[in-house]
Amino acid sequence: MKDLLERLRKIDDTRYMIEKHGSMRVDGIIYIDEELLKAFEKDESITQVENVACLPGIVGNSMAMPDIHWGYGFPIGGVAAFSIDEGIISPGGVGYDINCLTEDALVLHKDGYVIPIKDCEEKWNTLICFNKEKVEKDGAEIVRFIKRRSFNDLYLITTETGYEIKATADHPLWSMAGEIRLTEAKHLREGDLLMLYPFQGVAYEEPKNDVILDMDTFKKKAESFNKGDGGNALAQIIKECEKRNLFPLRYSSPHLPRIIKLMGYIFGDGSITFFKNNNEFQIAFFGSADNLEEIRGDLEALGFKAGIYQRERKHRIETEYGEYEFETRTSVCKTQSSTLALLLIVLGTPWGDKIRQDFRVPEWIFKAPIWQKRLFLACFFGAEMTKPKVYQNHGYNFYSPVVSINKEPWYKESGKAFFSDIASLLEEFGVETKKISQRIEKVGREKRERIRLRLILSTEPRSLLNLYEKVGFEYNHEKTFMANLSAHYIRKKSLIIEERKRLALKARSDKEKDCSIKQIIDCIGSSSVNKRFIQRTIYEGRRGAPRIPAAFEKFPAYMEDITRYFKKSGFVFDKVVRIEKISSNGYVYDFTVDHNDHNFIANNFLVSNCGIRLLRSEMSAPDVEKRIRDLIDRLFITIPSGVGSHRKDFKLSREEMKKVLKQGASWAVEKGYGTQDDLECIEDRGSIEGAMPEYISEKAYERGKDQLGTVGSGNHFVEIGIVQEIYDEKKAHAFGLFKGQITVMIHTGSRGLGYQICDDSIREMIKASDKYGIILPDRQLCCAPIDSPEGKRYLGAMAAAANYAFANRQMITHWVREAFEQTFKIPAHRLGLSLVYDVCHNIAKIEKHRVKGKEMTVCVHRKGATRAFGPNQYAIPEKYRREGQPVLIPGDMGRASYVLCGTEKAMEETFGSTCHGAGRMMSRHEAIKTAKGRSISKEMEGKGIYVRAATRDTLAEEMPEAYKDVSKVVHVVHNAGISRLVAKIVPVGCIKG
Amino acid sequence: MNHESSITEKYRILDHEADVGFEVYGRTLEEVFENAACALFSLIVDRESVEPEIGKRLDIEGNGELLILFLNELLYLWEVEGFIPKELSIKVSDNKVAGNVAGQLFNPLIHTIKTEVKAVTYHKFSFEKKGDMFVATFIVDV
Repeated sequence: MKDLLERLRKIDDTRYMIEKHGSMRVDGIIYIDEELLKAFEKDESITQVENVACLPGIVGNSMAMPDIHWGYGFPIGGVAAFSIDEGIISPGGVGYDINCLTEDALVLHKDGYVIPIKDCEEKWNTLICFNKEKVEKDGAEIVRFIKRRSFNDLYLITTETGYEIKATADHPLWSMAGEIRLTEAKHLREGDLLMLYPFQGVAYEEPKNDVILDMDTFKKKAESFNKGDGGNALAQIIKECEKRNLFPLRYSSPHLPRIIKLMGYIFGDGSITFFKNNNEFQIAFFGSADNLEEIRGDLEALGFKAGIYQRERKHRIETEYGEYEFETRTSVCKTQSSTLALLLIVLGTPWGDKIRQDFRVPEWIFKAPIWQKRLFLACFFGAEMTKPKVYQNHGYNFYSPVVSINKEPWYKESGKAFFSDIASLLEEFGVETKKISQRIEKVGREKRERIRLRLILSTEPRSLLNLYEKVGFEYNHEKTFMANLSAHYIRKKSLIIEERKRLALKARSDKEKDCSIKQIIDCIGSSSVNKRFIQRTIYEGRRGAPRIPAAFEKFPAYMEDITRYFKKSGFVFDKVVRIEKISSNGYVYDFTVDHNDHNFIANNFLVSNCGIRLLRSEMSAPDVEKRIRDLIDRLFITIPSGVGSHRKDFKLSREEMKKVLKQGASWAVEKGYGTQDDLECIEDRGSIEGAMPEYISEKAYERGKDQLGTVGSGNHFVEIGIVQEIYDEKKAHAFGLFKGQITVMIHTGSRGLGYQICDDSIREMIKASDKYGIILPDRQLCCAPIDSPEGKRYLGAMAAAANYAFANRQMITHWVREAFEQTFKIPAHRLGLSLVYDVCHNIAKIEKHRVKGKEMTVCVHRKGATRAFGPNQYAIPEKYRREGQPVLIPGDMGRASYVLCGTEKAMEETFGSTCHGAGRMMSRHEAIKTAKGRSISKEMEGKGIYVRAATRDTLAEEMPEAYKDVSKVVHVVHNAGISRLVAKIVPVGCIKG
Repeated sequence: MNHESSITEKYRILDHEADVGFEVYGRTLEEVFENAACALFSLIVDRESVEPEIGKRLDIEGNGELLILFLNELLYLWEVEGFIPKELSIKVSDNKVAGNVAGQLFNPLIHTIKTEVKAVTYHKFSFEKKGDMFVATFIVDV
């Protein structure tokens, strides 16, 4: 509580300010008095007011009315306006702390190197992220880079296999809990599963400007291919090179990484062939179609056209064991460019038949920065290395990774030399070579001799990890995926082995201290060792390191577990083992990427589009007293209320529904429900412009089609009341109110249609927030620029829902009049049942307001707040223009409702807004419990109020004690001057859902 | 949370200011989904009075919070057709929930309605595995 008050600064008895701080763009103002503030237990609502103040394009202050209580995102009782140009429209509310990572967090780039996030500022690049929809690894362009000072605590999260990450409390991390979702760092717990991508790449090294190949050298070497066409072809090639700015080719040339990749692959499963007849080169890459797509992409990025074709290859190999024939269907990616071919050849790529020529790893690659070396190796391995695989019989250990090449016997040594080049490159990554083996094979009908050379790498865990985590594979999705899972699996296995080693040592040392076996077991007690392990350790001694327990998950099972959620994306999950809070005093970083899934789980926010209307009459209390029960009963029968209430007398066709959504109350009047005069007294004449029924989903239509003309449930009702007190004679007279008068209040909304529209729009908004780079630190808000297609669609859908609600209330009005007619046997117009006013409670509207002396068009969000325009506003009916707009504040069951009037002050301070009613204080559950045994309806009757409710629990849930006292709320706004009290109405009967 | 003892509770009501929250448990994904449906509809009707008379086929795909999509789909069927689910036999996988649900159409003579539920919200939604059990939390707007 003290904390709460510290954030609020009292301006006067009815206004408290939250001064702009942190990411807030404007101040927050809460209209509340000391008494209501005392009852304010949760400061979450205050946080929400602060959060709204962070939204882009906000104009004026972020405000809250005295009936403020926590809502989804936006507090209920919240008012805020946004400029049309820069502002946003949001279904919810926004968070406060921007989630970020510390400067040393490493970000993995598409080219396989890592850069500390702080260095990303200059290098706007493509990084790796997770595509949740397709469940695959994806690349994403960085759109916006954020850097700011952080003064809040950071969380240091450590996972089981040793990964560490430092993040701010709100930073969302992908986690696994039944399904893949984002969890804020502060909500992570030990034992939670975090998603991670095992591949680490290597540190980025700025490449030097040294020249690898210049134009002259290239020319000279290329000339030797030129036979007989008088130098034309070469001239063309030179031209092309110039056009693409290929020379001089340096380590720092932007084209180089792709060139290295293509070369690496060709060394493996590609070929460069020269066709003498056309004097043309052709480069071919062999593999599966999905991998070739990537290669094609890189070719085209370099500016060379390529095509992918299917082909069938018949193979027949003869070995000592017999002849073996098989057919494969492979794809091949071909490009005809002689320029590229010559370039690659001059750079050292073998062309023609690889089995009968000398080639080595080009010298210049040895001088390249480590990440470029990695690209060469990864692509070569992507083509030629065996896929990571475990021994089938026990499923724990991996086969040695092997690369094979074939050579004619004469070139055997050349092949071995090439492999030793590869081996020495690998050394730099900490990958050990076991040996280079050779075997003679006989191929073809002629049984020609071939030497099959194999580069066999070590299966020592450290070496395998370096291979799979640092080198990895490129141009081969299957191998990449397997490498990721294998690496993670090896880490997990190593952990267990380490643990067992440690425990074995401990067991032995404990034994030396004369502990009993039982004591040792109790003391050690872990899941990775059992009693037998300990006994064997002590009695039999150990030779070598302990093996993994039989219970340890085998690789195939592990793989199934992972792929179940992550498919073949290469992502895995790791358990969080420690979460520590550490203090931060540096910068934190984050960026927005142009990718659908860098979105945040947004919380739902329901716009119920509810609103309220007040009917006056010429009747007084005595006229009605004796007939209340009849009246209420009749209303109860005529107007369906309660759960799933729907009308049996008519159903709307799709066409008709569209009209309702577009025209609102005027549709109802046209159909004979009420009169034109009624329309005068409805906000926006009961028909909000710009409604777009075409953006309403099938489901929404289904839900809405037979719910028109119903009250619904929860806190919705039709209530008959008596004006108990008049506070302002003049205004009351203008509104047609007098003391003792009988009134009818209708409180309902857009029913199932509204909920469905909201549900539908949330998903759109989530994507939109991202698309437009709107940072949603707290993710309770999803929003889109008002000016965007999404923003417009949301406005259009919301307007449609509001129109539905207007039409609903209009129809109910008609039946109320009928019920009165039937009960009193006097025509409705003689009873004077006319409309005082009808207002919305939850809506965002485009309005013109004066801001800092200038007139501005803004989008005003009123969530659980009512419009309260002052005098001389064109938007309100002529007959009210002198006084101001009527404001209707329903009380809860059994307590009074109020009529107020909008003021000039409201126009100045709150964009013409005020509170909407009481807020809930007790949860429904609590209310039901508290009500147990009590007959609420009897209690109501004791107070002189006859209630009929359609659902059993409603009465208990809606009992008066569950709500704040509306009179207190209303007094605050009156004292603050943003609305003036006009009349107080007490209920005598009501029907509730 | 005591996971070792056999689970007799399918779900628990969480107190919440304006609405109702549930914490639902299950040993398998399917169980959580089924118990969540149970919890949700416990708000709407008296489940004891519902018989698995007619069946409906469910086929829900999506990459949002699948549980919420599933529950809102059931709500939609309730609102539009008056269908009350009683027994579920579904399979949950990746981004899909598919299977059959057996229940009854609303009959005012047999069933008593308790409350209207507007929708299952995304607010404070969580779905986690705790030990060898799944726990889902969601808030329902009533």
